[in-house]
Amino acid sequence: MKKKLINLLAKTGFSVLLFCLGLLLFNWPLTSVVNTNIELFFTFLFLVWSFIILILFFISKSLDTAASQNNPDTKNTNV
Amino acid sequence: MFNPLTVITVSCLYIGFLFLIALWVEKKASKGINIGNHPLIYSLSLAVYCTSWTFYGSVGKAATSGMLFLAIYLGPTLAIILWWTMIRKIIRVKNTYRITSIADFISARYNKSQGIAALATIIALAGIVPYVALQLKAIISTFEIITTPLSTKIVPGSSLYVGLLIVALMTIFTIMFGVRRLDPTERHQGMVVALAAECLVKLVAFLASGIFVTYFLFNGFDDIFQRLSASPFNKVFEPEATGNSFYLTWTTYLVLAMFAIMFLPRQFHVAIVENFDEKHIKTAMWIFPLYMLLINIFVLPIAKGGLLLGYSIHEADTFVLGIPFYSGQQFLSLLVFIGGLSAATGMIMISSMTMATMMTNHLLLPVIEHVGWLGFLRRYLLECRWAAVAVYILTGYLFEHTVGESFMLVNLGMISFAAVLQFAPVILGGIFWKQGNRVGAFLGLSAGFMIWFYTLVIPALVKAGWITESLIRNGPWGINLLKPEQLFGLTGLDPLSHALFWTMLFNIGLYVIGSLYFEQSKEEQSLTEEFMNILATGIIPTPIVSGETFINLSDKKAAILKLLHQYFPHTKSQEILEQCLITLRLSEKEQISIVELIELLKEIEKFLTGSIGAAAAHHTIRNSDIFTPVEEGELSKVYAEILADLKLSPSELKEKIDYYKEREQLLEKKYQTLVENVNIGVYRKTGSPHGSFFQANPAIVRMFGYDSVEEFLKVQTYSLYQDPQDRIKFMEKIKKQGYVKDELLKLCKKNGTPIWGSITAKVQYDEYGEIKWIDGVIEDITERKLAEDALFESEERLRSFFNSMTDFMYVLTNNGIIVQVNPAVIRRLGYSEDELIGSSIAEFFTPASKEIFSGQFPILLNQKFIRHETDLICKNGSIINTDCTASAVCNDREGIMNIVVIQKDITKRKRAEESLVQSLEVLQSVYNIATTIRGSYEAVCEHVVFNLANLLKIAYVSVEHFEEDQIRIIARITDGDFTHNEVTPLEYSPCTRMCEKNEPCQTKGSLHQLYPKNKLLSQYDFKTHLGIPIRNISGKVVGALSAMDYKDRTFSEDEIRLIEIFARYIAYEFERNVMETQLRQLDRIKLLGQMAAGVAHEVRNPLNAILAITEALFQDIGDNPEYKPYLDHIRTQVDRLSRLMGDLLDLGKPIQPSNLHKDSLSSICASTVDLWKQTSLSQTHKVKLVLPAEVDNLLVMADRARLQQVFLNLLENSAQHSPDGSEIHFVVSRPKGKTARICVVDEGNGIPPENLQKVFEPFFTTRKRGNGLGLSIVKNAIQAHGGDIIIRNNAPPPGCTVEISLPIF
Repeated sequence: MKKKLINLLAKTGFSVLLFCLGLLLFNWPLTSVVNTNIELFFTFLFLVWSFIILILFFISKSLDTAASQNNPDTKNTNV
Repeated sequence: MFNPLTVITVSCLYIGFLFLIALWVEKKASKGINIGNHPLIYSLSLAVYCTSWTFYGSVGKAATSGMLFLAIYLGPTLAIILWWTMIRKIIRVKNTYRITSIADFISARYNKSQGIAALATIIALAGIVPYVALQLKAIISTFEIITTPLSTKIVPGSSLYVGLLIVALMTIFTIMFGVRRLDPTERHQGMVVALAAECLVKLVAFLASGIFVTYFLFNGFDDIFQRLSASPFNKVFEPEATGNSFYLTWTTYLVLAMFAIMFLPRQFHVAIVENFDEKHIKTAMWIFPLYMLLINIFVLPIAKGGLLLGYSIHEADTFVLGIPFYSGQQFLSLLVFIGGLSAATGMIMISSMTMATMMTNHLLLPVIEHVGWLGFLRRYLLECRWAAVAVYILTGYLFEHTVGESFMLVNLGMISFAAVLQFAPVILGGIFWKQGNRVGAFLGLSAGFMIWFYTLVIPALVKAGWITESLIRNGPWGINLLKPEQLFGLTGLDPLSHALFWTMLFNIGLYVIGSLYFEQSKEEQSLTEEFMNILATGIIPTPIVSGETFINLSDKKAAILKLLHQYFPHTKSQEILEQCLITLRLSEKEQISIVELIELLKEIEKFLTGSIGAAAAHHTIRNSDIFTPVEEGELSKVYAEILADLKLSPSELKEKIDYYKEREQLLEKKYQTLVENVNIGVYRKTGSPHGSFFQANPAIVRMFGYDSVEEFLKVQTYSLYQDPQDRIKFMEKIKKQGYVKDELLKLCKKNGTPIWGSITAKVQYDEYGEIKWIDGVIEDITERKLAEDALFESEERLRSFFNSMTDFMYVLTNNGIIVQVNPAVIRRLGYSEDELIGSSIAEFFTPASKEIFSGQFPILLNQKFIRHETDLICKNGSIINTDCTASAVCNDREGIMNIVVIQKDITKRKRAEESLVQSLEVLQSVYNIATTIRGSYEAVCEHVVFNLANLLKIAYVSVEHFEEDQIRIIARITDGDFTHNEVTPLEYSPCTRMCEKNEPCQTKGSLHQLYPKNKLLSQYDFKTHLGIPIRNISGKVVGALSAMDYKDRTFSEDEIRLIEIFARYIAYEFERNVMETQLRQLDRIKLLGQMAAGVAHEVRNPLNAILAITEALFQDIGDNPEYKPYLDHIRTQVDRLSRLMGDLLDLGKPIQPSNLHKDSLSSICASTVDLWKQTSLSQTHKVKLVLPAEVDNLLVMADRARLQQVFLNLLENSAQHSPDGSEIHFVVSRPKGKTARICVVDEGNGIPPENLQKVFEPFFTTRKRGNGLGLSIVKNAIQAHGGDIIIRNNAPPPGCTVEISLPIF
């Protein structure tokens, strides 16, 4: 389970997914949902931001253990 | 308020401190310690993004636009998610091409175009100047705040001199930190560490201000939000207030910030140019966003707090400093000022440094190229950069002074962001789109820049009042479609979104169209390939191809030096050239080939790129006269020859290349088929700490018991090891060596079954020396390993047995040469291993054993086994008896391979056997003597000496008796001849010492020399004497059994014991002889006594009658003179007879044991002397009683009267044999053991020696009137008391001594 998670986090595709997710969360229309008052908007933005930083931390650590998976030659193929 | 001088001093001290940090870091770097090479430093240095715009401007933006400011930091957070892919690629390009700036990067990608580089520089210059202005504005504003009294209103920009001073200081600091020298790598480690420190300071300062406002002026976030909701300012933050355009602007900010974090020149510099290790990106990916989060978390509270506290919204840009300052927090406000200063100086320094590099490399140098008379400036490139720094910062200040007043900080920053956004299409297209080319890039950049200028800068100038406002309202020449903020009639967008839309449309559009329309040159295609594949393959260094060496290297060196000298001092130029020559291994050559020249120029160009940029360097090399027309012709010829050798036209060459590509693919397929069917495991895995496989063949999958390749590839390599430590060691070894060969490892299958694998693997590195992957093959050798282990175990057991066994073990060749021995042989025989190995085993045998072995050896070769006894000669000469077993070790092919000999040491057993035989002989002899010898004591002694001489094989044996001071040799055998009854003085005998010690005693040496007065010894040349004492029944040494030999020999313990046995036997015989003699004597005395008593009894009665008659006659006729003589004679004779009869009765009267009582010896002696005094003899002879104090308490068992009589008799006897007037000594000596000695010493004539033995015999007397019974009676009485009596002449004469021994109690 842990290995799978590390491999997942280290994949370029996951980074792209996170980027897209971030764009979605930080843009209209989702921002308009929470921008009903400044306090909620503030809390929402900082929480999502913290969450992304946490994920980035795990990506960073997983890249250490599975750096090779970012290499195009390191696909799971037979010799 | 603070004194301006104080603030300037503190600021200078702070910058000076940072400068010291930078110097220290560079000093360490010169020693090889790269402090800047740390992910944390890299991450913090990226925070140069957070300038004074963040520090002060964010609060201003928050006060006016709510959360909009946060998009500027959320954008970079989103962008950084993709950094591992994007930035890593750019970093690799930078490392390969020695990129020094963003303009350099763009130029390098697009055929090293100087035009594009210049355009990019202009865009950056135009775009960043407002940014620098923004920083200066922040510093000046905040300086004014903290140096102006609270009661005085601040007039913005009132202090021109302060601005100029700050410009001067910033210029100096920038030059000191970043432009002190021309660095080909353009890496400034010291400056980056100082920048990281600044970033830390500004974060701390901002947090301090935020905490103060939020928690000291208010009661936390909730309090501020609650108060705000009740205040009129709340409307500012209502969604309705921000309007629908809020989300559009938000997205615009987000997009601009996403690209700004990468393409702002200063960000490009710290993220790309200053990067030490691409791995640092991984840490920066979360630390930098975290930094931004922390520095922004208090922005909104400060903005709201300021408004709630009543500060003007127009002063919101300075709330961070103003609130603490106006709240009286002097120290905090100074800290915040330093934080703001850090934010501004960091940006200005990095920005001006990189801009100065771009300006000189991409603007000045091309101008110098074209304007000949400016050529001298090449030598002053560094100084030109200094000037560029000054000009750049001054321009920023002028912009701030003229335009800045009309903008808030954030707005100035966004103009810059929009400018650098223009780089995004060409950079991203450059690394991800193959077809992007120079023309497209130039068109896109130009269009984007122009639109940016028209839509954002022109309105700014209008706002500053430099241009008429009608341009915005009506458009140029009244053309509405050209309104800068509503270009082509586009309305409804805020100016920034509007500009973003049009710039990107034109930029991307023209870049794509231009790239598609125009074709790339071949050189550009090559560059494109390298940029595209930089992550996949890296740049493979081209090996030097040897060719005809006709080019004089010294000429070329001179030309290159001339070229380099245009930019560098002579020494530096020389260094660069030497380094290039060493890299290409050309330094020793005098002539080089055309190919080598090309490589050399390529290397020089790389160095130049580092200093003057890729475009300028390329242009400089290309325009240099280093390549002569002849050499260019030669180069063409080389290519032509290659084609000619291949006998191909260019089109055929292309076909061939395609063919070989196809063939390579076929080979690859064959390789894959081979690998998939081979029985050996083949794999490729990562070199990471945990490691995982990404390629594996079916054999390895089967080997480890997995079901499929896919399943196996999911396994972490460490889980395949039995012991995880083995993997760590394996990885350390392979990392150290780069490969391993036949490495034996204990692994485990999927089900946990252990297997042994032999691994051969090799590390594949990338161009940075990092492990790319590890290729390896693994063979399952479990069965072989188990067999080897079993064999090893067996060998170990044998070796242990061989080494530990106490028997001697040899391994011989089939001709008897020793090849191996066990430690017991070395230990026991005393030879070293070297002496034994290589020698024939027979060399260590005794001659007899050697003969036996020689005879047995053919039997051994024939029958493969022999056993016999052999004697070995030790190194010290001693002999070891062994039981030798030899076995031949054979195999079918070679017959006898070795002979194993085992010798058991049986020396002790042999000795024991010999000893046993000897003992048996002795026992037999003793038995024979004891059972067969009958006869006299002398005859027994003769037998003993004879047998001993034979058993011991010695020349002389004798039985000797000690008598007073002489030795009587009862019997001796000398060289087989018997002699009896000899007398020799004791003092001249070797037995003297034995007597003194009372134990066996050996004497060695020439005995006739040691005892020259001994007549017997003088006749022979004996060298050894052994004396064994012969003791009587009371333990007294009475004689000796002597053995002598002519040779110097040591009698063994066994031999001594043997002689002792005989000595005891002699002693027994001696005692028996004495007892028999005594018995005979006693019987004789007893008989005599009885007879005498009978006679006396019969005679005494008639005597009494005669005496009575004589008395009667005497009375009748005694007066008659005629008869009186006769009567007197009768009476005298009758008296004498009466006494004789009395003595005879005493002799025959035994002492009854019942009459013996414990009595004091001294008392008896004293009473005896008293009795003596009553005798007549006491008149003529004096008796001197000597009683030492020690004898006072001596008790003896005695019949007191008889003992007194004995002593009295002895005293009388002495007196009778002594002259009148002489003295008799009656001495009681100190006891010896349990024996008391009483001596009577007279001064008479003594006793002739021949009579000494007879004096105690009855009736022996030398006196005419004596009856010879006195001493006999004395002796009988003494013996009846358990004592003894001896008599000896005094030495020296006169007289004799009678010595009585009595047991004491």
